[in-house]
Amino acid sequence: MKFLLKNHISDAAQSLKANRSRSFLTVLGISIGVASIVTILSLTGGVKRIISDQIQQYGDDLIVVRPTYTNHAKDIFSHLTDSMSFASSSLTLQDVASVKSLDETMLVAPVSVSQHELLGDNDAVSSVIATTPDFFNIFGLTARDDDDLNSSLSQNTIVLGSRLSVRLFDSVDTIGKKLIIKGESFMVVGVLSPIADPININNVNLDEAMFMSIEKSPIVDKTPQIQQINLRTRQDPATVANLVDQAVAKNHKNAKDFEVLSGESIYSPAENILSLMSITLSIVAGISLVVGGIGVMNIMLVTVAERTREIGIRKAVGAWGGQIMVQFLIEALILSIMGGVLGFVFGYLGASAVALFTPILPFISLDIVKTAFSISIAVGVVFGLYPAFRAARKKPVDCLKYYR
Amino acid sequence: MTATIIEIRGLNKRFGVGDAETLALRDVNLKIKSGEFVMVTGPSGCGKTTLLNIIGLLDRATYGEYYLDNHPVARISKRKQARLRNEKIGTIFQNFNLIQGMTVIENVALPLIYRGVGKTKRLKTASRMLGRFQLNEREYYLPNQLSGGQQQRVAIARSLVGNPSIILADEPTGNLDSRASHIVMEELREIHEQGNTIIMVTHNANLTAYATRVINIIDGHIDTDININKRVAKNPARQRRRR
Ligand SMILES: Nc1ncnc2c1ncn2[C@@H]1O[C@H](COP(=O)(O)OP(=O)(O)OP(=O)(O)O)[C@@H](O)[C@H]1O
Ligand SMILES: [Mg+2]
Repeated sequence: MKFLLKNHISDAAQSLKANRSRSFLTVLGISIGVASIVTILSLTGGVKRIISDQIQQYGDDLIVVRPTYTNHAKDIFSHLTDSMSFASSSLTLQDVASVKSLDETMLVAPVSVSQHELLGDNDAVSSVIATTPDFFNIFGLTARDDDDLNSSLSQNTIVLGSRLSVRLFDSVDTIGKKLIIKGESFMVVGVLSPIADPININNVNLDEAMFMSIEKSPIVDKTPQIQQINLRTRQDPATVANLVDQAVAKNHKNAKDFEVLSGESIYSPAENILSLMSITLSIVAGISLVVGGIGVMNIMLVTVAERTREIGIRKAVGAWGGQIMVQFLIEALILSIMGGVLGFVFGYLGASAVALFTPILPFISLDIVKTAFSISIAVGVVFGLYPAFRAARKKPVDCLKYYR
Repeated sequence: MTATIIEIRGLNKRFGVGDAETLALRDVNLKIKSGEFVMVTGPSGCGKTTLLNIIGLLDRATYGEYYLDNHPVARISKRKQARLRNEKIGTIFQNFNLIQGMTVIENVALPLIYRGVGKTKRLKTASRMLGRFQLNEREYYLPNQLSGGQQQRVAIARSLVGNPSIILADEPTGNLDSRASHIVMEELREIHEQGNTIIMVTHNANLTAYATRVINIIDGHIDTDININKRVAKNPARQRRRR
């Protein structure tokens, strides 16, 4: 039996080589479907990795309160302007106070992002994050000269991201410098260390942001919006999230115009756009796998017809239907597996191409390799079965009478 | 020598339906003993090939009984029939039926593949068989690089490589000139002398000299069935008397 299998494989290889160009085209057909699937999986894997990286970076004890009508689903792909495009947030400073008053919450940082023109030595338009100093603790941000940032944000003092500091004053050493926003003068009391990961939790590049006190935000923004409240606990995040939910709900008279997220769900909005892409690609993958499979079936039917006499001869010298079937099934499998390999390469390239336009890095795991492999085997079997069956079923005498 | 190897009773073979219906074999009764050299003759279209295909398990009778080695063929599974074709029966065709994409030696070794023989052993056996037919220098030729006579010798080598006890040959010399035919017939006679049963279809009356028995079919039915004493059979005068 082992010998027979070896033989089938070498026979199939020979037959495929003899019809090189049509074999190649069939392989190409399969590869498109597999490529789509590999792209999806690779990107999904990439996003999952971003999420798990962020959890690792910020810990799993982070809790976030968001107004529900804001379109946060656009998440990390959206531009800053998008994240500010909501009408008015349901979150208020009173909510911040209520959350803060809970014993279980350790750090509480409301976030209100807006964009303004800043006048320093140079002018720059930049994101202004109105928050509390807890923000720095929550996200583990430190000052470049190790200053304590806990009292950094007060009436007229601000903190700069390192790149913004350079843009405004051509230097990172800008403590004590003054800058003007909407006619009001602020003093720089801290500059952040450069941040390794430029994408951040509030879709703002923190290296390019300015931080000010939330109480002072009406000066720059007449209707300040609290787009998010970040908080951290020492206790079980899910339990605390519940308490936070109750506290805020009381303020909102039980209106469900906000949500409290903890753990993975904080980062998962990124999956929305991805799932859209996944669905599109899945449809493409499904269709092209079927089309590719039909290609395999078509070529195999041609092969079986062309080799009818050979089938007859093999049967005459002692092959039974099962052996003929396996022979042609293996040929179909070789086609589809080669399509799988090529598709894997294409898929990886495709994911890399997507990665050029998004922060997602293509991600390849053994599971993806296995999936691509199983899919191509499944296509080979499903679409190779019928032609192989046709070959096996023929009566030897009818095959031998066949002329072409 | 006297064991019955093939027994056919009331065999009929019908092709097609309705207007296109042909009764290729009608009520054929036949008993062949081990070691016979049977020649089947008859006009074109009388059903010789059809009969040989049924005996060779390549085709099935429409109805009637066929016992191979005392086993009713109708009750042998397809898989087992394939096994019998592989081990018990060697088939030679008028048009050689070699696989064009394979070398001569691979063609000869083909039956051994389905017996699970390893490649090295397969090629060694095939090579030995080709040596017997003086075809060793042609081992790696493709079939279409050989003459008709050579191709038929390759086909005979293939039919013998698995050491079958029954050889079925459908006009093995039909495409060959008299010299090539002679070589092929000498091979068959040698095989017969080694104890094999041979059933051969031919149009060439001269070749019946090799047979121990001549069966003439007319219109799907056995017309005459003559046993020939080998020594006497070589006398042409006696031969002509058969019908
Ligand atoms: N597949 C088939 N379909 C329909 N009729 C067939 C088929 N095969 C054979 N026949 C018919 O059966 C009859 C016997 O055919 P067969 O091939 O056995 O003749 P034969 O004796 O071998 O003739 P020849 O000497 O010319 O080879 C013929 O009338 C032929 O037309
Ligand atoms: Mg014939």
